[in-house]
Amino acid sequence: MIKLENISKSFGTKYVFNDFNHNFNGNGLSIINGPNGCGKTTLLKIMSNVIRPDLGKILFPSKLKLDNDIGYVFQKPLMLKRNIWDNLLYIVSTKQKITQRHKDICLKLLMKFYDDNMKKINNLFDSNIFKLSGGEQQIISLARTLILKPKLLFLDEPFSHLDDQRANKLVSLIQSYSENSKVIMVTHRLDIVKNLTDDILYLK
Amino acid sequence: MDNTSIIIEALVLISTLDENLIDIISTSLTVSITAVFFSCIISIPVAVIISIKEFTGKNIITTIVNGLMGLPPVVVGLFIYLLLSYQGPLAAYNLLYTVWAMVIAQFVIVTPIIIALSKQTIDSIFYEYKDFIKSIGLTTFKSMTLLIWETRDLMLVNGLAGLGRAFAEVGAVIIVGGNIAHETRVLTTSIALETSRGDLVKAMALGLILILLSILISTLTNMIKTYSCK
Repeated sequence: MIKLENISKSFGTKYVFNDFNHNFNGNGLSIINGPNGCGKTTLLKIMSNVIRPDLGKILFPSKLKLDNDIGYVFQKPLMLKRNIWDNLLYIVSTKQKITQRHKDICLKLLMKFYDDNMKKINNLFDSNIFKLSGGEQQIISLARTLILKPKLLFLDEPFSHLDDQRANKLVSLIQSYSENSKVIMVTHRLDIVKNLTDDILYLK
Repeated sequence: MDNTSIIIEALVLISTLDENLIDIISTSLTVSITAVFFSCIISIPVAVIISIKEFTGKNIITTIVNGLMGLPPVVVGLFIYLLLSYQGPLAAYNLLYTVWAMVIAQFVIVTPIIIALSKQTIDSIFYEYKDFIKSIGLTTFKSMTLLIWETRDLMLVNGLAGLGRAFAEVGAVIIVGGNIAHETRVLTTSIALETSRGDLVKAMALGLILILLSILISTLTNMIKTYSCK
């Protein structure tokens, strides 16, 4: 279980959270939903230690190693100035030695979004990373994070750049991934994920 | 001799690739490139740390670095002279009137420039990388290597800006180098010397080479900037 205790966070004089409390279940998928500007992304960043709360604390399961077991896929994917393989393997390279196993996991993940078509994946690898579509960059960002199989995965609007076909593939990926890990996702697309979980946090 | 004739004769002198001229150009290049190289090794990591770390006195350090960008070269030359002269603390190294004294002087002049420009470069991209870096828990060292690698082309441009400044510098190198023929004579000090001697053709030839080098640096800078935008 992830416990948020008395979280307060303000930007300037505006309080986004004031003495906020919430518990997320230990495993499975949790969804955070709400109108623009209500603090969904801020909450995700606080939980992932990207930003610190002004007050309060977050309690994680004791077995969770914060350095290695957390993955975060941002709404706006950051592409590094290097080729696509190097982008995909960057996070792994900062934590451990890259092996063939990592590359295999990566390819397997990409296959899910490219209809198991190696030709399409090869075309992707031949592309300039900055000329890829937003959806393709989102897939690379997702694959880059999932290679290490984080036990706690944060997804911030993961469907925002994806077409319906790929969004559905992502839904099934999230469904299977959340069977063994905790996934906390910010999304407006309740229409495509509402059947996956009852654990939905509405922020106002 | 009128000005046109001076320019024409200067071009003829350049075309003969006079040994003396080559010697001066090579000393200039060696001194400036060495100074900028060592400066980049120190300035770029320092700039990244100033940019990404929050610490007390950060604004003061930034202000000092920006202020030092306009260091008067003659004053730098004087200070280095005092350090290296017979009564100075570094006298034992016998560096005065050597190319190494000139390298030190140019290093001191270009370092604040490269730090300030590199800090600006990192400031302009850090907001994009900040969350990503925190989310994957990078150490300060790994964050630095990531940011430097991501801005490698712009860092090269910053180095070239420093090189342009180093090439054009005359006040400090003439004090600490002494303008000794075949040893510490560089383009700018030679121009000053030949002009005072009245050898305007040679001074003009050296001046044209200096301008050519500046244009070359500027062209390289533009090419790198264009490439980096693609």
